[in-house]
Amino acid sequence: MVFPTWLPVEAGAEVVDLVPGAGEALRDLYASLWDAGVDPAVLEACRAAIEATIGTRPRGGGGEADAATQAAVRFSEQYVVDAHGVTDAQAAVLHEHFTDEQLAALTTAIATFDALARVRAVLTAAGGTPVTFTVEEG
Amino acid sequence: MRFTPPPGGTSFFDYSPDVFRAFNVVYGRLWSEGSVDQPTKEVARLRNARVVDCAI
Repeated sequence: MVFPTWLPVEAGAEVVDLVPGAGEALRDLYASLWDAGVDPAVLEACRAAIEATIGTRPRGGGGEADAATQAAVRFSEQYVVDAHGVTDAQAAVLHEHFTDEQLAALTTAIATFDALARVRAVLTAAGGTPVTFTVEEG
Repeated sequence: MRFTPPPGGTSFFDYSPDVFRAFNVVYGRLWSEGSVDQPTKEVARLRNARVVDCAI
């Protein structure tokens, strides 16, 4: 995950390597996601959808995806926008297309893609547009 | 519960132990390493959880 950033890292260096051991661990996690029994094409579709939703890449037109990929992509986008908004119906569709083992790996992959895209969005050199919001206390 | 843990597991993520283990290594590194003290990280974690309405 090399990108221009306002953090003090040398050109070409990974931001996450600023934390000792974290870069190596993250690269191990990332590699494990692609070797956990989920079709890499599904994972790539989810990654693209997540990055497009967060705004770190343009949304591609893409072709017509199969039902499993569509279910995974919709799950990914809902996760990014509002994880509480994942419905029982969505979960049921996911169970139709993926085993429990695959869903555990897919969910971890989505969480990882989401986290990395957000890190990139917040640390990238380009300026952002702050949004104000409130958090209920108590 | 939409997703139930496997027999003998405590979390749904126990279905994918290798990935879960790798995730926990990253999580542990972020907590135990770096120049930010743990209380500050905990404040950030709690604030993040509150913003996304995660019951912790």
